[in-house]
Amino acid sequence: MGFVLALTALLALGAWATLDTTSLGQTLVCRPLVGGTLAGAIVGDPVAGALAGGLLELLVLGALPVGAVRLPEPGAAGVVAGAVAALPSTPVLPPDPGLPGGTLALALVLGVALAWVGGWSQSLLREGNLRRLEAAVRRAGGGAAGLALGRLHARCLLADAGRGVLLTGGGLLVAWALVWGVAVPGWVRGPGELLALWPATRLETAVALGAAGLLGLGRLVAVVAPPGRSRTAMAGMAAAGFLVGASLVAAAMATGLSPGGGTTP
Amino acid sequence: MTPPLPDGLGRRLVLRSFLVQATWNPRSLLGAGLQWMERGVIPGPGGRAVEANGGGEERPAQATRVALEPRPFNAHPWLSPLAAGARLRMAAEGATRAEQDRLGDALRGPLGALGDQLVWAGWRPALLLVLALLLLVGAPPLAAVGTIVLVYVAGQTVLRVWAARAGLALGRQVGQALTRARLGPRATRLRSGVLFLAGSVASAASLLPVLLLQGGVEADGGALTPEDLPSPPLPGPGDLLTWAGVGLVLLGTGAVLGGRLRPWVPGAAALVALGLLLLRRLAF
Repeated sequence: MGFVLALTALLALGAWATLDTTSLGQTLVCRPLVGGTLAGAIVGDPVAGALAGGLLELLVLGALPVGAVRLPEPGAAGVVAGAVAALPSTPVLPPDPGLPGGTLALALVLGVALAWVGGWSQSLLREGNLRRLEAAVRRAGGGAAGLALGRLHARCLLADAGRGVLLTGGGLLVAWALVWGVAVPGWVRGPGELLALWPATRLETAVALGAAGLLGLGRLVAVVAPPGRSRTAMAGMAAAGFLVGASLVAAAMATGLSPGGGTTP
Repeated sequence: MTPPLPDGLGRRLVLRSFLVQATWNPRSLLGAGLQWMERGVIPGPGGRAVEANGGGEERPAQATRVALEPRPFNAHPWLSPLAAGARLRMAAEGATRAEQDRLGDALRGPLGALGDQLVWAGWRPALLLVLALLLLVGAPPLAAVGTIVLVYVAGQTVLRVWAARAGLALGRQVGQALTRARLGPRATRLRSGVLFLAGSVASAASLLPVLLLQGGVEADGGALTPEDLPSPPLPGPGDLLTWAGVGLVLLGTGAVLGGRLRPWVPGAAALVALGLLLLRRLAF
């Protein structure tokens, strides 16, 4: 896929993922695991996108939209993380063996930061929706209520889509600046040189991030635990799942499968 | 006799419910979205055209202002067609706006709480965890994502269609449908399933490093040399148990801290983990 086409597709996916969070549909495209995989596929490596998206997903999965609390919004964040993690598979970066670790670290740093900015910008959007509603009331003359409401919806959707494009474009711009090193004064040398300084492989980076992700998963366990059930019963349920998961992974390894659908060499 | 409702009204309610949160704002919450869903003229008693919460005796400009300055309303978006449908049925039967508003107010709490438990704490994390598990055990990413998204959308469409049908059929008696559907017990079962799946993903993710070293992702990225691969290539039971134990401890820590952890804490922990990784390598 050409650069312009890929960039356009990523911005469109970012807008969709942002709209999908609240305004339109509420499918799973707003989730980092889904958005990251799709973004990785656009860039050329869905497995790397799924890895970055999956790690980001673990971090935010326990943040349920229940109650009046500002939450991280991971829609555009997942798209940017998935795209950045997939960069080593493209001709944009040289085939430096140290790069996958650096890009994964950058993907998650950007993902976490964008999820926070996304949550904050969602509050701004909702304040803006109120202003758009008040403006619609002032403009309301003798027109049909349905038409006025339709226009209001269109304006609010457009604002949210614009927010998604800004978040995704901003994240990709920061990534571009870091990948090329222009964000560090005096560093402009070549693509990927700054990332190649990251002192850990993708495996080590994934382990460090996965540990924090399991903490987030534990938060989910605490939040979704059904009321009225004993702690022992809930722990038993999770422990049973733990054994099943380990068995599944062991079986997958025995049959030579690996994450992403490949087979182990 | 109950007046008939026009064909396609339920379908329109379902389709518009996908946009019900587009105008979400701190004052009326879902109120404007609900108004937009209800903006269908339906035949009332004696053939007079009525609309839920906005038509009746008002002049058009007044009706428009009423629609744009709605009462606050909140519900889970997937269950919102139930409230809109019930209010439209009441309007068709000649109920006053105050009566429709009282029903809307009464439904706010149950529709919000049931939806949160059933969907945000049940259906959505359950399917995401299934997707994660599929990817961890080797499913092709795009096929797995496509399948799970389709199942998720199918599930929410079924719930929205049920809600619209129940609301339009029962009107002010719509509470009966909520009772009969036993959404609360279903949500409890789903949430128990989420616990099970969380345990499964935690153990599978704990074993992820082993899988990566098997050559799948890491070799694709070109980060490993043959010297990096473990010897023997397949890890022994001791390695698996160690990794699984680490995962269980981390999962348990998160579960015990649970509600005390702010939503942004896991993300901050990830940044700290990366920082420690950087420091460790720089120091040694």
